[in-house]
Amino acid sequence: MQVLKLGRTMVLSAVAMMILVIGLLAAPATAQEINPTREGVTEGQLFEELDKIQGRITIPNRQAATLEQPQGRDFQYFHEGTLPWIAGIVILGMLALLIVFFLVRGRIRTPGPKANVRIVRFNAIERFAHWLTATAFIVLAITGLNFIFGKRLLMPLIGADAFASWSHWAMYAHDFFSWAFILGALMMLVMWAWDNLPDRYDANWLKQGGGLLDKSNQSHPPAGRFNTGQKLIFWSVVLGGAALAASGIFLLMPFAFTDVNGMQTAQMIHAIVGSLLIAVMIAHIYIGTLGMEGAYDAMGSGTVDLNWARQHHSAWVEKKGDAGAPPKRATTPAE
Amino acid sequence: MGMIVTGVVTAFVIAIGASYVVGAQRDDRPVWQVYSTSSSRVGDPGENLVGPGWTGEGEVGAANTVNGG
Repeated sequence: MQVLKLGRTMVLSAVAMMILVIGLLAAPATAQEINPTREGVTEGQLFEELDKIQGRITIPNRQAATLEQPQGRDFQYFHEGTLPWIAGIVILGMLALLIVFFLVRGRIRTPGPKANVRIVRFNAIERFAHWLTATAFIVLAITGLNFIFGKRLLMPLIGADAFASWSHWAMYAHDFFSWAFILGALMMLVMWAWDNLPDRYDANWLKQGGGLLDKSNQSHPPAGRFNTGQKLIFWSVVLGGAALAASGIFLLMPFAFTDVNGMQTAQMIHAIVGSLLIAVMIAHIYIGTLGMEGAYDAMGSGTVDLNWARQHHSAWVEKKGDAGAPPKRATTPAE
Repeated sequence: MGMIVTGVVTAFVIAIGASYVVGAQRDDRPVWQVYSTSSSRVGDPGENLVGPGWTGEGEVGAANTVNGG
């Protein structure tokens, strides 16, 4: 009887030991299930709910309180991925197009002999405004493209230190030459806006493609002081320049007018419009120099041959004559 | 040619002028200066404190130490 009692006690003790062991083993698992860190709201859930993740900071830079924002990721993707492709395609595409055009079409020549009479096409103030704007734009274009392509194309060639120094000065040049560009563009707007309004010659000019594709050089549709192609370039500069100036001022004074999203939008607009305008200006430079015989003289010396003017801007020459004031002759170049 | 040179020179003159005008308006201090507050580093109290006289350069806790508790 005593032996039986002892055996029962031992069995109960063994069972109790097993329960204790199981309980001890299970204890950490139970504690893990109520781990507040693991059960807390995840960053992803906050992101979905709030659209951004913000914290509390004590430093003066309040912008730093926004730790993550989805638009920042979109902007980074645009800045590092999409933008170089857009800029590369429009600029290199325009260069390729012009090379093909030149090889197929050749220079646009003026039929007939020279009249040997030169008339004033642009006065000194007009040429000054043009070259002021052109100088500023070239500086802005080179330094602007450095922002997009510099670290990819230039830094591997000249090294990180030289690239840092160059980019530092390029940034200052970009910031400060912009004012010369704005002034020049405003001067051109005031002087040329009236002559760049649509007129009755535009539809026909567009229909004939400006005679650009006529390899015989016989087709020169009538045009006023500016033909439709020139008008398109003029308004591209005015409207594109306005967009660049507005977005540029936002960038020049960070966070003065907008938050980080606004800054990103301003930079996107600035970069895309700038790239497009560079492509347009490449076409403008081509047609004003290599592409068209006699075109450079208009902005170089300010005078053109009367026959050239009659071929390319016949309505302008006629209008001058009809007004009782024959085209002003310049027996010697204006400068 | 004269107007080309005049335009180029004027663009540079305007840019240089803008650098003075805009530069005077802008805060060109380095980031560590703009976005820092009076503070002290207490990793090694009494030895590496910094204060308002800290320039961000040189050895922390040596000549620049200014009663930063």
